[in-house]
Amino acid sequence: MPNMSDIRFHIKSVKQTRQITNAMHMVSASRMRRALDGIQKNREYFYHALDIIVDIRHHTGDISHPYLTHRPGDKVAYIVVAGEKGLSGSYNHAILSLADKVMADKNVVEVYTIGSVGTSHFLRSGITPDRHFERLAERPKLDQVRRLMTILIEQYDRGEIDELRIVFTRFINTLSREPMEQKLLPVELNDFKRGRPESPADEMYDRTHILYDPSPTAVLDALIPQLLIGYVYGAIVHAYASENCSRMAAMESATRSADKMIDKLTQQYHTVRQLTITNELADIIGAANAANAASAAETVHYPEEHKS
Amino acid sequence: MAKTFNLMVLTPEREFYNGEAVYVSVQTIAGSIGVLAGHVPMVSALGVGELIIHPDENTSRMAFHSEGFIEVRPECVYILSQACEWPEEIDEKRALEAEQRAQERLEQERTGDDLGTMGHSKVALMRAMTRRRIKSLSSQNMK
Repeated sequence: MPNMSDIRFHIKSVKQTRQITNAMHMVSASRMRRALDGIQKNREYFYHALDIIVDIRHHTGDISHPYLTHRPGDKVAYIVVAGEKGLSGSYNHAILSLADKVMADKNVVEVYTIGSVGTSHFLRSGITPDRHFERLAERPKLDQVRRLMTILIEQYDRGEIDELRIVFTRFINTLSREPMEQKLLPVELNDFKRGRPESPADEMYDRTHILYDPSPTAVLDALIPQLLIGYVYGAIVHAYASENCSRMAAMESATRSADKMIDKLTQQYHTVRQLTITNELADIIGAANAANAASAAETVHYPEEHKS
Repeated sequence: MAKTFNLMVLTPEREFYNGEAVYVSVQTIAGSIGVLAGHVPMVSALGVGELIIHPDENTSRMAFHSEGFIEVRPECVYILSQACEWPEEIDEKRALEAEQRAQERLEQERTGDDLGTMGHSKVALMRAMTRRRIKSLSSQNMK
């Protein structure tokens, strides 16, 4: 049986942990809300860019464009978006095991990581990321995404890579997230359509007579890198929302287990306390009885002593 | 009363402007264009430049816009840009630093033989200079 001060100490430490997990839960919840806001805004931007590219393709027939056609090579570059910190349930594990799985059978020439957990994961398995972006997952900044994409698109232009893929966690709702892989270059427009809401206004709009200034190809040239920047930025915002959502759930359940543990320990503490009191009482009563018995015996002996 | 149209200016990070306008002008890759109500449906890519919005006939607001595109639809005009900033949001010090950095890079690249990155430094320089110009123009108007 543990003694009382041990249990008291244990309860205190669990309470402290509970305070931390509870605070983290609160912080993740507010960050998630902010990220959700970002997803909403980014979605509009991205789908507009996508619509226009699809329109141009319809308009001009199958024009060949280096960003839209496949190349025979197999040199792949990966962007891996993982968390900035741990303590977020299965989030980091899920995304990194997907990354490991999809990268296993490809000729990966470049790895770019966003978030320090991803960076250290690849360092541990003996791959040094060619470039890593810390703190970007925490507060997505467009100019940094632009810098990253400029580097990668240039590498694609020079033929150093033949394919560009991204691994990130898509945020579906607060209860579900989905780690996923997406090919960015060459662009496959149908892939991006996933999860796109259909709006009635789009169907009403006649897209056959649109003026492209200065020319459809020039617009396409300028637009594809922007679509990619928008997509990658969106992916990072999604990952950020997922990370915080996952952490929120993990911390909520941690807080709940801490509560349960405190209850259990408090009960145990009471049992031990009661037991100690009972034992003490038994001791006192026993001692008192013994003392009474002794004094009674003495009084019985007194007269004899006096006599003698 | 001039006819108005719906104008929406979006960046990946936020909704920059959403409301009625009489006139809007942007810098496209082919040059500066202005749009009035009833414009033919059009799509064009944007360079770096000034975004001028006339919310009504008597007012005019100027802002900075980065690369993006403009889509003129019958019901609405969409301007999507990677970054948009009102003059009061422009950080002049940061723009000045960026301008100097870009100029230094351009100098180095001109002497070196890595021509591939020169385009980016030029765009970066453009961005910084345009930001500063808009900032100074708006502060003049204030006085």
